[in-house]
Amino acid sequence: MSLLDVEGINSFYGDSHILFDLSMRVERNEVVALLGRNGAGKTTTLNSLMGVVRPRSGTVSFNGEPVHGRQPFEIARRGMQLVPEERRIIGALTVHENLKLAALSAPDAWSFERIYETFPRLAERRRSGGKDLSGGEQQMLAIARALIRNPKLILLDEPFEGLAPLIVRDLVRICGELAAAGQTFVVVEQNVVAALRLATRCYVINNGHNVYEGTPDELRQNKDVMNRYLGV
Amino acid sequence: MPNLSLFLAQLFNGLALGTLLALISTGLTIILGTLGVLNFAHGALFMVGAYVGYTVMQATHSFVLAVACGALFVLVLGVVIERGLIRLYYERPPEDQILMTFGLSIVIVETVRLIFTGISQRMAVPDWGSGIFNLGFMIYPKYRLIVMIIVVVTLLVLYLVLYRTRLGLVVRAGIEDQRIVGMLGLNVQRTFMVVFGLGAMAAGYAGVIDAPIVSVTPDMGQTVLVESFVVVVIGGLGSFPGAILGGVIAGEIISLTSMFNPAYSQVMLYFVMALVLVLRPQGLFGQEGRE
Ligand SMILES: Nc1ncnc2c1ncn2[C@@H]1O[C@H](COP(=O)(O)OP(=O)(O)O)[C@@H](O)[C@H]1O
Ligand SMILES: [Mg+2]
Repeated sequence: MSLLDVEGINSFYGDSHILFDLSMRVERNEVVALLGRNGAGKTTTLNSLMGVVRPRSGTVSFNGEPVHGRQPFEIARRGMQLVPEERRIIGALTVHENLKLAALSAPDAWSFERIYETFPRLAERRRSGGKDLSGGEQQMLAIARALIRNPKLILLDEPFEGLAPLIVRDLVRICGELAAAGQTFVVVEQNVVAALRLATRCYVINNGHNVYEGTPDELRQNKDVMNRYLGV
Repeated sequence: MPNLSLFLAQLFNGLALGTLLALISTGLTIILGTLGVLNFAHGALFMVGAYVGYTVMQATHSFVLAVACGALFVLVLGVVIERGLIRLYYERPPEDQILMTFGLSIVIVETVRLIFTGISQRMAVPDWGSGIFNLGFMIYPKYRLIVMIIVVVTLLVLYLVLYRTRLGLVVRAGIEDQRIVGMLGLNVQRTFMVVFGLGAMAAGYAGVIDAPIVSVTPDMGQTVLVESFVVVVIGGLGSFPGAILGGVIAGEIISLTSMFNPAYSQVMLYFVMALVLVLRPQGLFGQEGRE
């Protein structure tokens, strides 16, 4: 049984059909990259997994249980965490309060010490308001906020977007260490190079269709797919 | 020309009115901030609190019981309203919500008029509150002074709930972004119910303790509603410190203007509100760019 099993989902915004019979699966300890051009439907896919968007048909099974149609808070309590593209740090709360909020409903939460050891920068900024953080710090906090809940699966939506190369390198290293320690991820990235460095398997989405599945090595060698769908 | 002692007296009156307005407005602003619903029935809930308090006081002569019953009754009423009505309107446009809560307030007011008639009632001042107190610069009714202290203590308790408890953390986060709160495993719907109940309770509670000072009528909530809206606009939508500062400012404006001409006190209030809207559209403590 896969950790996540998505079978033929169709998602809409109002009348516009965005995802078409999309299927994918994620095994435990995998890092799955979800690639595709801007507007391909990657964010919609993650939102459909998390319950933010409700697929009109198809099934999403998580840890052996159907979760499509459930609300985001119920899916979160079952161990899935979405780190959204917009990060959604609560500006009125401090770094520490943002983490505390995330840990409230997690039965098996990480300790604050462990989070701060993983993200030393956040330890320095723990009393700062969420609105006073730099983009890199916000992204760290967004990931830390997911991590503190000790989830079975973390969905990262463009975690490296708009960040300085040095910070991207840092985040890639941290995510790599977490993955090596057994954390399962789905990563959506425009930065194909960074994503493929982390990933163990990848999907390519185009116009809401799943058009390719393979390992990073296979994808790198597939010039046709790289060109046609990723513009690389 | 008013003299200094009159000025001080009015300043003090303004503070008393202002803290009460602050208490009522915290409920309104937190409901608005968290649920996104502008509750036009807030004044009616204040009035219901006053009537329940009045009735219990008549029957038992116990002020503590009157306050407890008034607050609890409106808390339950608030939860019932949220589950039965407001909940169905979260996804609807604001004008629908306004029409619905406005209609609800009419129903509540007319129901009370049906039961108690429109004749104004007086709630007895509790024994320990009768008499006067010499403040040095003025003589002040003892009950009003004690009410002011009760209100300030209540605001302090609300502050602690908001800034020192789990519920408060969720509410403060929910005011800014309810979607992420849900994605972090928290049941926002349940929080909404609690927030609406507590916000309603703040209004009902204020209604009971204000009842011995004013006359209790089915329409007593209307002025209060309008003034609380002004307070929320001045302080910033969804801001607790904003509601407190806005409440005190509004109380002082009403009170100090009355010193010259009571007819202008409401006009002056709108003038200051307009001024705030021009200089700082998000309100004194509001965050820029939120809806
Ligand atoms: N809230 C929305 N309402 C309507 N259309 C949307 C909305 N969000 C995204 N879309 C459309 O859905 C398609 C897929 O978007 P998205 O999933 O965000 O793509 P990606 O994350 O791959 O860039 C795009 O064509 C986009 O314009
Ligand atoms: Mg996207």
